[in-house]
Amino acid sequence: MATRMSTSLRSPSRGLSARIASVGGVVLALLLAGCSGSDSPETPVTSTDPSATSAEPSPTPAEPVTIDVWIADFASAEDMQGLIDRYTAEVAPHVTINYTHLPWQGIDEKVNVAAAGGTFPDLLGASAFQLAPLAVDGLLAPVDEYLAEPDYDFADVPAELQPLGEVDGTPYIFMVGVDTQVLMINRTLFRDAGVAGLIPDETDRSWSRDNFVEAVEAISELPDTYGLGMWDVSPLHDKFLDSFIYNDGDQYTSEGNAEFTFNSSGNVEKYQWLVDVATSEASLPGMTGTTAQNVLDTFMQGNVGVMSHNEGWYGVIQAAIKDGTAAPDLDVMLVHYPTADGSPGAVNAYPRGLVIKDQDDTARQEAAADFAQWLTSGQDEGVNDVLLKKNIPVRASLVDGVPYDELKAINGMQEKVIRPVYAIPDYPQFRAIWFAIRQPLFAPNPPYDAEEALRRFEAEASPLLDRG
Amino acid sequence: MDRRQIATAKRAFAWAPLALVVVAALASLAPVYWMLMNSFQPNTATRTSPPAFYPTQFTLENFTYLFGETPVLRWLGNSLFVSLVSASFVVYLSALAAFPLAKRRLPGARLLFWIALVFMVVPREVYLVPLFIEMRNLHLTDNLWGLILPAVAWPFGVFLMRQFISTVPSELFEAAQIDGASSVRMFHQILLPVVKPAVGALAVFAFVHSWNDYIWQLIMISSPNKRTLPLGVATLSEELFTNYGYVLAAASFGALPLLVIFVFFQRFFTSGLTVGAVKG
Repeated sequence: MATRMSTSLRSPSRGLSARIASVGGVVLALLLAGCSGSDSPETPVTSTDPSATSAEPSPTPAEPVTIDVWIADFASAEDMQGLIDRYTAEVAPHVTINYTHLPWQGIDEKVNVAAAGGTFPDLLGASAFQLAPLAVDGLLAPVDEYLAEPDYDFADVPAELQPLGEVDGTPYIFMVGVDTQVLMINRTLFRDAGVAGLIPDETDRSWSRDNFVEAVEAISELPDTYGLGMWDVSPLHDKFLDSFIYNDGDQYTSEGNAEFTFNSSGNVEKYQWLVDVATSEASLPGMTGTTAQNVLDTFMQGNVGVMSHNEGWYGVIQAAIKDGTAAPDLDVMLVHYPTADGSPGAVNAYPRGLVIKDQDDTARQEAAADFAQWLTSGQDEGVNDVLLKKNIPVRASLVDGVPYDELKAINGMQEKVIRPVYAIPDYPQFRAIWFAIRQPLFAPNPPYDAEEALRRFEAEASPLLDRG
Repeated sequence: MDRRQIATAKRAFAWAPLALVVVAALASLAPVYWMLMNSFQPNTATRTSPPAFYPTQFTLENFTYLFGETPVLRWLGNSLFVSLVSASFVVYLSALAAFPLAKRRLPGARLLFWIALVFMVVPREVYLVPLFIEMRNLHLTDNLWGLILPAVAWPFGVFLMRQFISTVPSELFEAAQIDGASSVRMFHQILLPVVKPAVGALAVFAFVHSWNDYIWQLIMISSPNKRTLPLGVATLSEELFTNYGYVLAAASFGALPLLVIFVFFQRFFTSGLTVGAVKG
């Protein structure tokens, strides 16, 4: 054995050596390639050509400043890069913008880890569900002073929408637009399930909660069909789902947002609807990813009876109907969220826009705020063309063939606009319902006592449900 | 039941497992088929209702867009760099750590091994933020090395190599020791050639693990020129609209390196799957 081993020591496996050597060579080459290429930006993020500048020269050249900007989907990456190039060439040549076009898949993890890890960007394209926690954690700078400047045009944001960008009365967002939550129903499935009589009235599009529950449960009985498609039924979106139950500008949290309270019939109404959703026998498709694309696809294939989402999805559905990729018998109608007495329910809306990081480096903070102002002030038609700023059915209008009567219906609904709920650190009642909704979809069982929370909710909400 | 019927039943029973395997294989291949088929179809054809299981329209537009309008080759290069370097480190360091755990008299070896096992079951979310802060302090955020270094100490790799090395006869190392071989020499010239199947299997596992680590890549990388292939593919989807043709073309293209790696290491990979299955 010793002799054989000595031989083996002198002549190790040639195959392995050759393989290790070849792999090592590849790795070395890659190492060199990675090191040499990793620091050269692929996309030019600034232009400092003075000849390209149309703005008047500044009396004193500003100090160069670099800011990090993360945005998802206000415009395509190319269009947003085009705006950035124009801004850094024409308006602020001293500013360099490192732009990251965020993919939606995993956006919460990206933002939250950056917030916790100290690499939060100077400017972030945000939505309601990101706004509140970030503001409460002290990461965001108030923007009231910027919005109050004379060249900032807030006139095209309806007054009732302006509070959408506030947390505890302080504005934190340069609004780009507002998303409106609506219900979309597939009338074909109502007819197939024998509940055509429960289709909301076409004149005011309203229905009762009892009718809603009966309809979604009946549709759930159809083969390969879901009664209800819900956005935000995911572990990460509890803050976002709050917006379903915040009505007519009413507060439903105590001072400091520490405790959940019920202080208006409107928010109780919507909350009760969530209880209906959680306790009904309606089937729901699970949500995959941040965008719940599979819920939308399932609806467009004609397999979801009632779906809750924003007007942007309605536009996508109309486009699919137009190009023939939706189910041939898909018969979509926009309706109100149901109420106890069948009167038209409130419509939810939440803002989208830009938030800036609160930081000691005032130059960076100012540069970020200036860029956000330029994008959202409404003063630059070129910007407006790209962002369709403050155009409420913004994404729907991007799609050719959208029936604009339907969009007008959305706008009509939006007269009863609501604010999203902000900054509720923990509120067992809501979580109970949320987990009850997602429980069939996500194991393990919820860590909350759902029944106890529901009992507490009923006790608190009952007096408010009696509107007299 | 006569003898002929019994023979027929036996033959049918013998074919049953094969039929089951064929059904399972077809079920596994169906998504791959759907991906490949639709990568050569326009977006509208990928979403027909009811879904089509055969191509109805053929186009190269998805690949034209992918190679003409996106830096997909850079994404691929970044992914290859990260995954190959990570896998190389994982294989070498895992074997290096597993060798004394399995074959040397090391005080606390069992405890160390159990610690490694415990870390295998710790969810990623638990250490996501601390790890990110560590990378930030090392100035490795938005840097491809920030994707590589956290991946190289992989408890599963230590587990796999330790289990395999345990099956190697200790006499090999005793003989080498008698011949005066150092531990380093034993590791490189005896152990590594003997554990080739485990090395191959672990290399594939580590490569795929690193390749598909989307969330960590998303968190760490912000610059467009440092995006990996999974990150790049994710940017092809917009909030309200996904062009499945583009996405599936990118996914098909991204699957090629994995296929090549698997074919290259297939012999080792299948051997590695049985590591620890037989105690010898």
